[in-house]
Amino acid sequence: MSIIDRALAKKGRAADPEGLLQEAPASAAPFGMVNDNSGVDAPPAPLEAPVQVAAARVAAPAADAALPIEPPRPVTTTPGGTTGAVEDVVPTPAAHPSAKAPPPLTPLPPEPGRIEPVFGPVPAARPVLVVEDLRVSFPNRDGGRFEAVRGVSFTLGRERLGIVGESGSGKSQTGRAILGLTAPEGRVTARRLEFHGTDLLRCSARERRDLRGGRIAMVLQDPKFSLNPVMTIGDQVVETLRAHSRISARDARAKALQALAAVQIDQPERVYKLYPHEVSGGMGQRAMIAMMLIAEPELLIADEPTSALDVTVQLQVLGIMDKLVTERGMGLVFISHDLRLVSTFCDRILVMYAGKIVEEVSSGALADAKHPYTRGLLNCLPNLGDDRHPLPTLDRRPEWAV
Amino acid sequence: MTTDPGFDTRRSESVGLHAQGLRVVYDGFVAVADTTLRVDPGESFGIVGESGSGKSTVLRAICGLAPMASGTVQLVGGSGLNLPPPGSKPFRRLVQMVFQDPYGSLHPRQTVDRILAEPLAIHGIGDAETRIERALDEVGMGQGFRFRYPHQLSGGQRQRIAIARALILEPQIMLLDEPTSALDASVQAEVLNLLEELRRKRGLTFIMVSHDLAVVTHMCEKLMVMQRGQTVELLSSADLAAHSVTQDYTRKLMEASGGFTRKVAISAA
Repeated sequence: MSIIDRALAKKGRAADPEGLLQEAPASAAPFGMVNDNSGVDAPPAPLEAPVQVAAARVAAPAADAALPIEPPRPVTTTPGGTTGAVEDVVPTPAAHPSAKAPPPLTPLPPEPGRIEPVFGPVPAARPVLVVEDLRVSFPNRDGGRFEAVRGVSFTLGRERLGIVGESGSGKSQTGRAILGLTAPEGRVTARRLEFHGTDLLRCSARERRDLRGGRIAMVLQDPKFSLNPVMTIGDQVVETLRAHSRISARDARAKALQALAAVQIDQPERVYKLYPHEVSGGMGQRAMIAMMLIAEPELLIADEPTSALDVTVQLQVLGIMDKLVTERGMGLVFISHDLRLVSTFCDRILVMYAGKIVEEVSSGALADAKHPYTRGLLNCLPNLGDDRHPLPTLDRRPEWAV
Repeated sequence: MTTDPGFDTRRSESVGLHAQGLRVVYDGFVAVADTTLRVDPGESFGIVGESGSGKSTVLRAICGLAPMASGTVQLVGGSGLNLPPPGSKPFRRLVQMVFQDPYGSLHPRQTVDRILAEPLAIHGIGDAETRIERALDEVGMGQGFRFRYPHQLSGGQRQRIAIARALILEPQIMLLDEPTSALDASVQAEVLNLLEELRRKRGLTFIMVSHDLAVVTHMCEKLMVMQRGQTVELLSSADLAAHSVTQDYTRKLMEASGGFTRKVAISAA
């Protein structure tokens, strides 16, 4: 990394320290586009002049004119899945805010330890997260142990991975184990549990704490129970920020307000001063997302982030997450029981039953899912315009749990 | 069987409900503004809307849990039965409610047995033993669950107990306030099937509230869309399934229930 690069980075950051948190204006869309011969990160958000050279080389695809607010996606996905298939094909950079390297003007050879954007559903050489044979067990009443997660393995690149299952399938425990939030009596073992090459199981409690909320963040299910009831929303956002970076109180406040605005909270100044019980569920969930994203994590674990919300608010929150994930190119693990919702949002889906992954499907190929459990989960939802009485229910067979 | 001799609560006929100009005001805030709904005997009627649209308040006003500023609620029967007025004990027996959150609506320190015995005691109905057993059977739970506490049951099981508690009084109208929104998708199907089967068997009338358009269309023949306390649209499920809606708001809800697409997310934002 050259001195010039550092200087440029500094300049860029000083000029727009919170640029990352701003909503991408329509004109900024091309900035996110890849400099296709470089293969390295393009600068996030609007930066100073030198960067614009790089941006100028980028051709904005015609599709962006039609949907100007649509941010580019870092991952190519879902044949025939979500809308906006046109821009999906454009390889986009993972404009990663917390990649510590400055925005380069010329293509650089990849540095060791540097994350490269991963294209395609299969994560390439340097995944964000590697989980191999993860097991989580809890003591039960007769002195034995109950295995809630029984040998889960997956690799996560910069993509949106869904984990789907019913309550008790171990999906939340998987997410919690990655973050190190398993209850004290629980035991977590794994052949590998690595985050950017860091072995999470060998980390000290302090190192784990630094990662948590900083580089790995989690959005929880119900804002009513997961926000601190005796702290204002603004204070909670600032707390996250100050726990992970040295920043003055004034800057932290400014940044927190911007983060609240970025998740489409209308009057951030007003909401900043409110307590969690004074805001609606959708607003609380947005505040939590702002809190989680302000430290610019590289991996976001969302545990049923929208289950407590109304259908319309649900979509808003997903839209915000989608935008932030694509703009920042972070990895997302989306945990939910709603297979249909996950299939419209994620690139890849792991279906869990009784602590194991029974099937992995790409969201475009959900119709071809083979496992009866996956098919059952998909079928049991009532559909608009469908006339199925009674609804098919899951016929849980013991051999699935083997 | 009946405690008040003045009212005939025979179960020979299904009972419907007419609410006229229902208005609920809290401290100057109009939660429900002049809502009128007609539910015919044996019909299943759905109310859809987002949080704060007043849909649950309508149900609560009907059964007397929310103060009505104005408006009337009246039961209607097929063959001119003498039906009880709202607020009376026989009315409360005929009209029973199932609440949204099965984690919050069962007494945490009462066993299933006691939870089910209480409504019987209140209404002075004897023969509790057999009725409790029958109620448990009807909702598909074995007798083994009878002496458990709510925390020893799963969400779906708790909701079944809540339904059993409502059913044990042999109501004719069930008010269902988001009965499955706290449940997993797979358990939701089981509870919805149970409700449909009970309705068929007993000729019940349902008024069901939900924010999930697909669930309401599955369960109900007619539905009402509400927003900010106002009625937006009244339509039949068949209309909705055929996508023939007139209001933008209904269309928005319909798109939202189709799952996440970027276009919808942007327009919702």
